[in-house]
Amino acid sequence: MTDGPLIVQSDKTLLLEVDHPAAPECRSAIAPFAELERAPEHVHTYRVTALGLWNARAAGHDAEQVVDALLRFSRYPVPHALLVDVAETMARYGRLRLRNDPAHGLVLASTDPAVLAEVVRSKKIAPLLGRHLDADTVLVHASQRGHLKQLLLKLGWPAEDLAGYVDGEAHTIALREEGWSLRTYQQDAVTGFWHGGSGVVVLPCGAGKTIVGAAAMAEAAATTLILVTNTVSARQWRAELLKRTTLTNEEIGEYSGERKEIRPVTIATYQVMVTKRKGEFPHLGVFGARDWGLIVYDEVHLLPAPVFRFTADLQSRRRLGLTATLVREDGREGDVFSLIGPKRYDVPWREMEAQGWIAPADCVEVRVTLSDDARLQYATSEPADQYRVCATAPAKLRVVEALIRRHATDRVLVIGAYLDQIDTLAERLGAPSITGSTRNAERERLYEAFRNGEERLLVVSKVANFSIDLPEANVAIQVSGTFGSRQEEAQRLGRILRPKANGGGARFYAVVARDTLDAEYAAHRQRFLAEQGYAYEIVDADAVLAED
Amino acid sequence: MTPSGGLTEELRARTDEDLAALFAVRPDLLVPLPPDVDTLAVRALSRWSISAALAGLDLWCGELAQALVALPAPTSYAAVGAALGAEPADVARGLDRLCALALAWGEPTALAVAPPLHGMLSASLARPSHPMPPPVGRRQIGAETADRAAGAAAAGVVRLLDELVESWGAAPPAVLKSGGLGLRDSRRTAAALDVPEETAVVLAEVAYAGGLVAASPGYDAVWLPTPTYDAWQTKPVGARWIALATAWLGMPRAPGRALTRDERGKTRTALSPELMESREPDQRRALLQVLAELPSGAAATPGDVVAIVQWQRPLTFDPQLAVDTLTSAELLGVTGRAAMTTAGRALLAGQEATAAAAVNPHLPALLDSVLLQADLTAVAPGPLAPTLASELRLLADVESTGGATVYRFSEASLRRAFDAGRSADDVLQLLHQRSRTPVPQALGYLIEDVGRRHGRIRVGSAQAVLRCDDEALLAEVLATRRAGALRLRRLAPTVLAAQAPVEAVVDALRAAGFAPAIESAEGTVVVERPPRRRTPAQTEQPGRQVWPPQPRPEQVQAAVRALRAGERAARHRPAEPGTHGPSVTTPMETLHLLRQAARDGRGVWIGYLNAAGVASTRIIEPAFVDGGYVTAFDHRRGERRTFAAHRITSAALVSEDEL
Repeated sequence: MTDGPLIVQSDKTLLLEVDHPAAPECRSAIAPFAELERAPEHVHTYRVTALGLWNARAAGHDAEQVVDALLRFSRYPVPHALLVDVAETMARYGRLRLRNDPAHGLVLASTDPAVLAEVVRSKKIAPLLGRHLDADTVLVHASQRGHLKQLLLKLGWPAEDLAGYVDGEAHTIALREEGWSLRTYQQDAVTGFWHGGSGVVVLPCGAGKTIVGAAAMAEAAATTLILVTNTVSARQWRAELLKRTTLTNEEIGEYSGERKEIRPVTIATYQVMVTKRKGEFPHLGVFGARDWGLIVYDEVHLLPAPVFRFTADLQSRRRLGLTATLVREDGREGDVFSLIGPKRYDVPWREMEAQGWIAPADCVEVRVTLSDDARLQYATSEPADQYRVCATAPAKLRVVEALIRRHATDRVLVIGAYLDQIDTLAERLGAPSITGSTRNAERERLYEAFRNGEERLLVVSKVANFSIDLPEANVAIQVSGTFGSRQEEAQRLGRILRPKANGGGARFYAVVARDTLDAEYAAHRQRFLAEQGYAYEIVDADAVLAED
Repeated sequence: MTPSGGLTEELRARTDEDLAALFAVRPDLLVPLPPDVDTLAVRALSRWSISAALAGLDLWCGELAQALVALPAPTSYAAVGAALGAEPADVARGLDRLCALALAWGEPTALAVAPPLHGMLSASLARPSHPMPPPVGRRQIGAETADRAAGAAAAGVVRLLDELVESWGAAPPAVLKSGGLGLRDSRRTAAALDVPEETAVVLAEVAYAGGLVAASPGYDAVWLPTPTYDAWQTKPVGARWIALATAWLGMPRAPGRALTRDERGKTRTALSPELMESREPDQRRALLQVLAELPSGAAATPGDVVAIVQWQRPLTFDPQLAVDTLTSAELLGVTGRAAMTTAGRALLAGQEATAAAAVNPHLPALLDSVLLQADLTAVAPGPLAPTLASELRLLADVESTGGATVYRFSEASLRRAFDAGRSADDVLQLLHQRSRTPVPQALGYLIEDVGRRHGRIRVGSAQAVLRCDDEALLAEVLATRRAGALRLRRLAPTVLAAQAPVEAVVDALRAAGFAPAIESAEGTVVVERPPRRRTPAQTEQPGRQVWPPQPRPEQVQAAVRALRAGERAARHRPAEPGTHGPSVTTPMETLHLLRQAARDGRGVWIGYLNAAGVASTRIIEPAFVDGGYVTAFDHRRGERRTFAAHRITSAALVSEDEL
């Protein structure tokens, strides 16, 4: 029996005791092949999946390293079956290879004729293949490169794609490192990506994903299509590119709901790409509008399904995925692996820790007791209305006011889901509000005012909140509404509430009505925030008011 | 030569030791004790006894026996050796054994073979022959490595068994009519334990063999934990493992057959009688013995082990079950990384104390503390002491198991603990004591919060409720001695609850001089009237119907027929007092009579026992007799009916005038 920090569970999760002296070393050893699932204060949970193991293989790790890491750090003997399974799974990657044959074009080759025979027999795969060149090689229709990779992954024989890329239309892009410089890990990420050809770079929020994108573009020196989640994000990319690279305003186009520009560097939104008209996607043509040398996918974990489909046809172009997490709520991690590429770089935890980027915010849940009238109203309302009734309880207003007085010198965002409530709050607090109906120009003006300190308080709706990046905010007060998925919620919070440059902490308040649906949702939020490592505290509204 | 081919003489000539040796290898010859050597020889040459002896032969002896059958008798050691191309030493070893078994006898130069073998074995000369078992490719992994891996497996299997039995205790699976565990239940168990279904079956079988679960008695039987389980659970992990491993070693069952299909295409289920296999303990031991005979810390592949045992007992060997057995041995930690463990060797030798001493150092120590986290989980980074484990199972839900156990606290799990009588203080105190880390504020808050809400609303039962706006009057009622039997309890100043029916309460109160009124469930006063007796509401009003009702013509005819038949039956009744119906006839006579009646179109008077065993007599006119059934017109019932011939107790032809 050793005294390692790692415990292997029967469901293939790994528990890491973080206070153990060997924990940091263990974390770097398992990070390449296991995904961090939960990171509360004492014991972190990692999950070993086939995809994770293949990602590790693609990154040049072998089964021996994985087995060694497990054996070296595990507190208890590791089930032999698990080790065998790891070795077998990892051995499956790369048995099949896609490469370019100088005479015949795209071919699928294998060193193991049995594997090739197995996949050729598959009914779904057979139509994508041409004739056999020899026992180990079979022709592939060039247009089916992506589709074939998807199917092979499903069969459990992920192919290594060595077929190379087209260079695309050349376009000079260089970084302008004035007053800043590429951090080591950012440089490593770009190198990792470039050597791999295509793939995903995993960077936590705030680690400078845009800069990695810009550096990759400089490396490619070719026309680039950048796909981002929405218009505001597109504008941020443009601003960042203008600041960090030699690109000029005329070279960067925006392809969104409002503008349809195709320029050497074009930033398009997922939103516009998946807009359907008469059963077709009229804007998917952007992919073919130029001879792109590089396609950048921002927030790969949110990539919508139709974009996947189109990406399958773009396998000869270099693709860079940027994300904070490989976990997708829809479980399509396999498609990211096949179509964008394997994970090429993962920022070492210690690096980030040293940078102070992962010190998470404090979360405080304030429980408000409803008045007797409100409780009765809640109990008797229709089930569909119940959440609204408790979430917009008037008792919350006094608590919000007290909290704002407590943070008189901070930049505060108040977040709500119901327009009435937002209007009431804006009026009582004397603060501007931003909702879905606020025009983009007005939004940007207010954000700018918030950034430069003219406004220190904004009341925003959930919709508006989705599309902002306000690193200056250090306090958020949520009065109603839940964000889409839990994962997204924690991420958005991480985004709004970054630890400040001056070392000051950020704080998130959730004002919740006791003993109602509101509290039930808050329990979910608590779990996910705690799993992300946020400190979480629950206080009674009376305590807040008394202090006030 | 005698019919025994000289065996009698041979046996008679044997020394006592040689005879004893024969009985040792062929124990069936002893039961019942043979009175003399003649009987013994006859028994030793019976096909049944010989086939039992053949079953124990290894491949080489089998080949020799076949050679003996093939060569002309009498033969010799040398001739057999020449025919098989084998070394004289091997030949002598094998033939000596056949002689010891009394399957062959005589001199090395003049060897006779048991005559029945000719009919039982095919004559053949195996080339190449197999005088030696196949070699074992062994890998030295070290006793420590094997023991360590097996120790982890042993701790794991104890934990899995614990979980399995606990989960069955909480939601007992039904016992199938055929005696097994339903497929859905074995799937569910596998899912609950996070193991493959095959493993779940082995665990269920071990639990059953170890007496930890049993079928409940009576109808709707379910699989339930036994008192043995409760005792087992309190023992140290090492002792628990010994109990499981011993049960597994000796169980005459083949879990590997479960989930496969039988000859009728039905899937065999765990714990069903179909998995009985009396030879399985022998084969299991033989397999483990192969590993045990290797040097300590040497591992062998399952293929090699199977090949050796197959050589040892080719006729009874089941290779599929053998592979399953070796897999189970790993699961149970009897072997570790395909090598026999120190503890496993001791167990095979029947030394349980030695086995316990060998396994204990490799079992993880029991912990008495956990790590609490803000995401409302408790992580036990190793096996917990049984009392703490069961307390945590009450307070929280198990989320993941393995080397560690992760428990999750939730409102529902805490409520369960409060329902079981824990208070918020109890829970907090336990966590403070048993947590290595401070209790997270959010967890403390949750416990307090659930505690605050728990039991605020209380639900009880009362048979009657007393309301009165006058608190003093209710106090008076409560104090009245006559009301004592009503078991009144004050719920609020103006409300009492009674544990007696409304009528009893009203009567008692009236008797005590109060004037209560009865209230309906909706709260309105029920008006009582002096009792008047009435029938329940009538759906038909008799006065409006014609009486007697007019019968339909066919009903009239049927009535007449029935009447006539009854008369005839009575007239035909034999005169002897005390007998009813025609005299008892044999089935042959009955059938003959019925056929005759059918042919001639005559009536038969029969005594008949219906399915309920009620006897009757009736006159029938048989139409045809076929397959033990008589189709006939029954005069009494006025319809065509089928009678089972075997239920006809007697029959007699009815004369023409009687019809």
